[in-house]
Amino acid sequence: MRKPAITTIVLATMLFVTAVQGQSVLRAGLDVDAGTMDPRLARDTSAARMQELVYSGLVRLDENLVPQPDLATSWEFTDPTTLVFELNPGVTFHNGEPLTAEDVAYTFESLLGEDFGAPRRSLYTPIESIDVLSDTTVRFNLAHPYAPVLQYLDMGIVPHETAAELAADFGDNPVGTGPFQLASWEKGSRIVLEAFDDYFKGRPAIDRIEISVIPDNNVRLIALESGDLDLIHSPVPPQELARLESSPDLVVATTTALGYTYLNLNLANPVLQDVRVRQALAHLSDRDTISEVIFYGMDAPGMSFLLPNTYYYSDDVRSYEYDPERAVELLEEAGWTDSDGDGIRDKDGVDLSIELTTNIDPNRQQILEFLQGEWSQVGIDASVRVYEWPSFIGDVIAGDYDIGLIGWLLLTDPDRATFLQFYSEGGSNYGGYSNAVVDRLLDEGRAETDAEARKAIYTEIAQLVTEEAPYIFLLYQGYVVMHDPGLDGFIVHPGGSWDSLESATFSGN
Amino acid sequence: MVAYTLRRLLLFVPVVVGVLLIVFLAVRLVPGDPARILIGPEGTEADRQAITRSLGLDRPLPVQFGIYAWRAAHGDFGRSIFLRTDVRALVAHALPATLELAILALLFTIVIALPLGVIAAYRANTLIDYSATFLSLLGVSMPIFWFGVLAILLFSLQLGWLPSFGRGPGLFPALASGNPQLIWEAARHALLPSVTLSITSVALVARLVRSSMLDTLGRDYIRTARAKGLTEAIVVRKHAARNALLPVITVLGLQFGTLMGGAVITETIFAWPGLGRLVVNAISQRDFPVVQGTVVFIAVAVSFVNLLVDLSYAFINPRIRYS
Repeated sequence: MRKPAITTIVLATMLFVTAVQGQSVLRAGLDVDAGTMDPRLARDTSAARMQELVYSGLVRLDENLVPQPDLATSWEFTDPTTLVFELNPGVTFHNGEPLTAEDVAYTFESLLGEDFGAPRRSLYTPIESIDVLSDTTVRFNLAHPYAPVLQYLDMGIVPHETAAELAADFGDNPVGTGPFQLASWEKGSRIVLEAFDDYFKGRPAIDRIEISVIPDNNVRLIALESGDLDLIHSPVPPQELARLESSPDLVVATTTALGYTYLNLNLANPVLQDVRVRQALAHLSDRDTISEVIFYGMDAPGMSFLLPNTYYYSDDVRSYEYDPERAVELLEEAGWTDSDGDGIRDKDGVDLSIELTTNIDPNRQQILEFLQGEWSQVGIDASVRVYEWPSFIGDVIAGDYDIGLIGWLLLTDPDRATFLQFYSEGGSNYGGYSNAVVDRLLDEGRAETDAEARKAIYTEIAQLVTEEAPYIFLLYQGYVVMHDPGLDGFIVHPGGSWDSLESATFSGN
Repeated sequence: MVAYTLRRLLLFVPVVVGVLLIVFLAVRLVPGDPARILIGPEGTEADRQAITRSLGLDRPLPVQFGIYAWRAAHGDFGRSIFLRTDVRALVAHALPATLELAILALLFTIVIALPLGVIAAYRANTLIDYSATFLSLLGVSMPIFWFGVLAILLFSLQLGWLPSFGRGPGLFPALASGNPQLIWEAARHALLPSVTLSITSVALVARLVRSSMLDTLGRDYIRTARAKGLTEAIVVRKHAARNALLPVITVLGLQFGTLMGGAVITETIFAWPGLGRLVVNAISQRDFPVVQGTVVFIAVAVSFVNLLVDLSYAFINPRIRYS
């Protein structure tokens, strides 16, 4: 270099300027890109994270899933079907526009539009109409008492003029009231968010969040450990958990997630129509081994849709102990014996053949192969087929399967875990389960606003469902967060929420 | 030669139309419904049908194809169902990333495999040859996935020398800016993925060069050249290598095509924002417009590379002439 002195001065100045700026930048890693930044259209977990950072809802669910005031300062049921919210008057959107009740009304009215395509529209259909009573008062008129309504009103509120103007482009150009705003988005690889100075709860301490999309779980973990990232969360490779929990360089926090993994039995299949066969299969599913050996304890053994660490969890629901002898008894009672001595049980000339299917996922594949081994030992001709998600879920929805291994996620309310799934001909009742008592109880559970009474109803439903075994519950999903120790104030949330980043501090790189 | 080139270029048109038709049908006839994936598990059947209508997927196939082909002919390849971005923009954005990887991998292949193959052939059946053969076998058999993750583990985590993921500023933009710091950053990001991607190529091409050289070295005209008293260096370089290279060039060209569209695993592991990852994500979500647009683009790119390869024969072997 011909003029080293000048180069040094320039470099030094650059360093100085950067140091003075002292920006607090949090680098996070996600497994998939957000499909959209429009909260009404959010369909994947990354989009949910973006909703938490870029938007605010009327309420927000805390780590106990209790609705807390967010944009709304208070709310009241003036009668069982009328819910009135008072809004915080001092809120502005990222573009400077003030938040009004008009925006709240617009958000939900647009999302209920039949052609809008909102994935969670079915959760909001009991909202018949929304009235704007003043700039800061909004009234929801429900078609009938709907107990879970508050759980679902954490939906991000969008600015009515901008959203209407941009229409389908709003998802790429989000404007919200949240603590962070979108600075740049390289689709498929990187999202950069910047702190919103006029956030109504006070500007976040973190200046920037840079989110990188890293599909491979192992590489994302390596990136965190090598210091290229500061924060990651599930999915993580379960076999690494023990080692990481004792690492001094990382903070690892785990909790139960809002989801479970289960076997969905197709009741249209004659073999599975006998409840004794289903119960036998439940007794043959060794949850403890699956949880310990395949998931290294990250996912816990599961027995019903009532999730642990939630208000609705109950110990009164029957659990199918791993009991191959009892299973054999049940199968024999049901008439399945090995009459031709070929090692496979049969009845009326038909073999006890079951095909276990799931999507391509190494852990799920291991579960099925394990079950196949176990079930074969008692004379069940179990086969396993693992194929890609769209084809697999298409077959399940069309009823073209025997037993499918799937999961449910984002279960913020027991209604969400049961209504579509167990109601006769419910939208997600793939296996065709039908029980009039359960139907009645599901309707009651939806309308019952007294918390204790509601809990009793769902406990009863859980007992019936577990007894009749249209689902064989396998695992309660676990949720893991790992971050740099420099991140302070991050609260682990069973729904995976990143809400706490609005007030967290980060002193890392 | 010009006439030949023009004729070949004209052939692109039926190729594109054919590929378009096949991909269009294939992606729709395979089970799996983008509307169902878009609406999610809590969407009702009515919601799903509404989306199907808005995407135009409820129309008869010939109508859908007609509309698509007409727009494509005018340069409009539609919008991604899931990303809602213009397909051309998505491809244009992913292309430089894939090109970087493919070109670097090709360079590594040429720089490593050619000399390796020549030496292995020249010193056939010696320790050098056996080692080279062993390495080739290793390269071809080793899963890219495994090697990639191991490489990241070693160079990023253990040694801390290289970044663990991503493209960084990107080699092309960095070179364009001329900023040495940026170029260095981009190079650091590109090193592991391009080496990982090149492994199979290197192994394959090294073997090919070896056998091609062996074959050429055994020819009569080589014996004649040696008999004439020419030095070994000239015999190998001027006479043998040139002829041995012809099949190698074909393979290199084909490899480049494969590298362009098939770097999926490498791109996934290294979170490299290229075409391979784009098209595979699109396929797994049944994002029809993206699959169609990307595959057509790759088909054109590969055809173009093949044309260049064919034309290059005329330069390498003056006896080859096109008419």
